[in-house]
Amino acid sequence: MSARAISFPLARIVRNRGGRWALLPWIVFAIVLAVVSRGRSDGASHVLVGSFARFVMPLLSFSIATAVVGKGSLVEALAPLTTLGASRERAGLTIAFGSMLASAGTSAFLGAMVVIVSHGTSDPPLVTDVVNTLWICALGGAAYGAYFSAASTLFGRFGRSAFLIADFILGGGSAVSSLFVPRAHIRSLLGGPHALTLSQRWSAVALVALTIAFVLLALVRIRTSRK
Amino acid sequence: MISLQRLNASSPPKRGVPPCVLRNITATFDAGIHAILGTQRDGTGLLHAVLDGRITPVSGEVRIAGKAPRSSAALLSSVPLDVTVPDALSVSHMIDLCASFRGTPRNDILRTFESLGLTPMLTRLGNSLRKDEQRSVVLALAIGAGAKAIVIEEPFSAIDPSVAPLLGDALKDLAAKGSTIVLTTASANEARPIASAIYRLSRGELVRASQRSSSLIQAAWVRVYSEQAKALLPAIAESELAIDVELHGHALTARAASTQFDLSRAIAKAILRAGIRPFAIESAPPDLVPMTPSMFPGAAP
Repeated sequence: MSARAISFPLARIVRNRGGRWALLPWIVFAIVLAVVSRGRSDGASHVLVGSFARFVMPLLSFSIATAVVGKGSLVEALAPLTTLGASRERAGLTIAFGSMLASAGTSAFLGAMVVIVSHGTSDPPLVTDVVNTLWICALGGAAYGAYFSAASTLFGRFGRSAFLIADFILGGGSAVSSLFVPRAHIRSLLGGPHALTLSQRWSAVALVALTIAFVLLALVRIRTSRK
Repeated sequence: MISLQRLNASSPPKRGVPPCVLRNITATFDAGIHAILGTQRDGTGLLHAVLDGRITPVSGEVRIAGKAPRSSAALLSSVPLDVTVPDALSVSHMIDLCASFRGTPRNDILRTFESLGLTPMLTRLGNSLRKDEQRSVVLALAIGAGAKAIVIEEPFSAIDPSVAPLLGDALKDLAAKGSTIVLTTASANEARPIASAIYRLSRGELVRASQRSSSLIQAAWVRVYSEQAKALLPAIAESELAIDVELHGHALTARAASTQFDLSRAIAKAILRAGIRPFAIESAPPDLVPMTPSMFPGAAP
């Protein structure tokens, strides 16, 4: 897959008015959260583990997936690329990777910004905190990108919404099912409660595994879809 | 290049729309331009969707250079009526992507854009193009990339008016280089000048109509308006031609895989035999065959 092809899903976010406006509320929300928590001794940890991991990251990634895929399913969104000669699998991977890249980049940038703005005295040293937040948010954003790409191939246009609700419900609990959605692992990596009994290291491994599994699921759905 | 073996397919169910079907179609399309005449109801749109892999056949198989349509993206180019281009990319960017997906030099595609007069569109974004411009761009991409197989639905409809006069020659050049081009259209007059072989798709069945060299045969139709239109049915049934008939109120439409002249003559005979009084008769453009009184035996001079 070429960088040239990836530019298509990214251009859908940047050049389409709907794509740009859909991201704006979550970016503003993250900045407001950071500013409000400024002055707390654990400002950065409080915002990251609380509202940022709970609401901003999943909703931002959801909006990015919607901007990239469009209102329909991922299978329906393949047409513009297959018209140009891409195979269905290649087109699907291009859209999924574009969504993952945009989610990873935006989440990492916003996460780092939140840390810088709301950093308190009892938070880890600023540079270490920013570096750790960058890779954790990038990994989490990529996992959410893959998660919503797979969701876009299931249940038509309602797949993404169903997966978003599942992430809220399952990821917030302490059942085994919380291991199968990104939320529990991201919160664990950002300093929140562990996902079940997994250590942070295993949560990072689980996020990578989930990302790969969701991309493969999307690929299988694209290949077997009759549309 | 494109082969169909005992193909049976059905369009997806849609409320209020009778499904189209394709019945037991076996055909091989080699290099050249193959026109398939028929209406959407006859199944031309469905055949297009099956050929480009958007719809999976119920039984039988479609092969593009030996591969299934979904596995031959680099070889096959499809231009349906409701074509979709990348909305957020410029046409120039689409050319880059198309060249990289199909492994064709970018300059070859650019030359086609120049020859079709589409160069002014290069800087425009996909979402700023009208539907006819989008189709023109996709046609130019398909021709410029030298796709080995191209399936075009209604090639001369819904395209930029400046492109239409140049399109026939561009398709002929591409076919001469060894590409297989399949056109599905309801317009025999548009297909005839460029097609090397003409087929008729009638209610889902494909009939080889003619080679271009003896191409008087076309998608013939005649519509008779009469208050006694129903009385024509027995007389038409006696005709030697296999005629499909649709009756809607006072309008009777007759179609046949024959020359327009033969169908018109058969319908004229049926009108005389039934003794009805039509208040209007419509037909496809006539073939240029001189009419003589002997063509209508029994008619008053």
